[in-house]
Amino acid sequence: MKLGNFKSMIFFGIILTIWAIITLLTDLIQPIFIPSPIDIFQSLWKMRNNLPMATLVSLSITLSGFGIGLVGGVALGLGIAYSKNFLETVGPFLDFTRPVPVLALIPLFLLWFGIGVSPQVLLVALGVSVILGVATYEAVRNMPLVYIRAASNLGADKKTIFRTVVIPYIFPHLIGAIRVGAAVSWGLDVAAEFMGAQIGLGYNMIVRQIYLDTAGIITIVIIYSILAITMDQIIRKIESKLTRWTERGKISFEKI
Amino acid sequence: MGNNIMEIKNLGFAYETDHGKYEVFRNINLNIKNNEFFCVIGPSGCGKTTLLNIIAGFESPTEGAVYKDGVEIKGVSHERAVVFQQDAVFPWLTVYQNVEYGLKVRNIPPKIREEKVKQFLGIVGLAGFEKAYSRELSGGMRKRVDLARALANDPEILLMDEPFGSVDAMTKEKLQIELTEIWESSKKTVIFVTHDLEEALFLGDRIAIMQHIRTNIPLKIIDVQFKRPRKFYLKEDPEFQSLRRNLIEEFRLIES
Repeated sequence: MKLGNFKSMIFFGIILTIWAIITLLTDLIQPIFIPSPIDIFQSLWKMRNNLPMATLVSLSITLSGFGIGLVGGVALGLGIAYSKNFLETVGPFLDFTRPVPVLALIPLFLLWFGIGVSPQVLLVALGVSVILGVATYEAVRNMPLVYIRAASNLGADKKTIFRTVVIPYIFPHLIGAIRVGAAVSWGLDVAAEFMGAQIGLGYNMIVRQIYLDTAGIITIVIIYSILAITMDQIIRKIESKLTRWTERGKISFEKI
Repeated sequence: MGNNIMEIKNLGFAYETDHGKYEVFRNINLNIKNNEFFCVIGPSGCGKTTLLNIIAGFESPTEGAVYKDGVEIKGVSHERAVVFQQDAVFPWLTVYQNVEYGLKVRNIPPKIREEKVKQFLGIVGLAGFEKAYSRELSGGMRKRVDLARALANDPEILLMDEPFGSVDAMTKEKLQIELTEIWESSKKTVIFVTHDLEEALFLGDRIAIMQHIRTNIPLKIIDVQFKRPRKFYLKEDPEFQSLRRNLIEEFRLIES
């Protein structure tokens, strides 16, 4: 997905131009619904003192939640795949708790943990770990038997097989889940901040909404988008470096 | 030829399906002599791969047992090294790391590992490819890595399950010649499963002819008298061709 090709820039430009013309030169749409580009710049300037700190807070909550959820989810998935005992003990409980929508836990978290950063990080971590846990487990269960048999035949025990065969093999297969998890973590951050944060981008969005400051809301949405896109691009860069051994990227449906 | 390195007594294998017990084979009795190249041929579904899997230790028989040097086989061992039909070379490791794998997991010291890897890469003709990944190699080259990896562990018995089944005809010829030359220098015990009659005749000292269980034809073992070392032009020898025709007759009269 290249952001900079000619066709897409023209398309983008046309949309921006239409937006600017309608909002600046006509009275067709009220600013409260769709503000003009100038309104957006103005609100960016108005919030210039708040935004850096708010961005930093939201970024740290999201990244720590994502990190914890990633590690926790993968560990859980591997643990269940590794030990039948673990699977049989913990599995049914997880089957029961996994489908609970993470957002439905917000009121519960408010009661349990009060207002603060930790419950927000926990919420993000929980949401991400469910995604990564399931993806990891499925990736292990679906891996080609021949690799496991070959490693076993060459003298590796179960732990060694997991470390030297399973984990390297499933890594490219987890990329999709990792990117989805990253995207989801931003959404969970917004929701988490709606539950009584005192600082952060999501919190600022609520304040802007109370003041009917649509331009402010859109500005913050744009900032969130830039953060999420950047994070995704970083993940993809890391992924391409670490998966040089796969045949990814060779598929082209153009010539079929 | 020396004594028997392996004895298979009354071996039978069956598994449960939705429609009841399905017997793959029964009453398999055979002895493998030390340092012989033993082939097993048969049509698809006759159970030859299952037989090899049991000898390797990936499956347990439902009847009878396999004895190596008088001891019943339980589980896998690097002494019974397997070369699989599918691509089993680990794609996330380089050629060097692949061949090194068995030695590394068995804690062989680095200097000795290096010696052995270089030695066996040389034997299979892949010197210079140490740093390559399997996706950069052709099918034939990957098979050679597979072979080097198995041989580097100095197994007592080499188990090969239609190893050349997935390469093209010309590469197959080449690999057969290379295999017999490599075998000449070490004379390891080999159990080689194939459906290719010419391949079995070219490579083997003795051939077991395994028929599908529903034919009720018992296992038949024939001697292959051609002198060693076997040369590539053996396949054009009239005696070779007539032996091949006899083998075909074993299967032709049976409706599949």
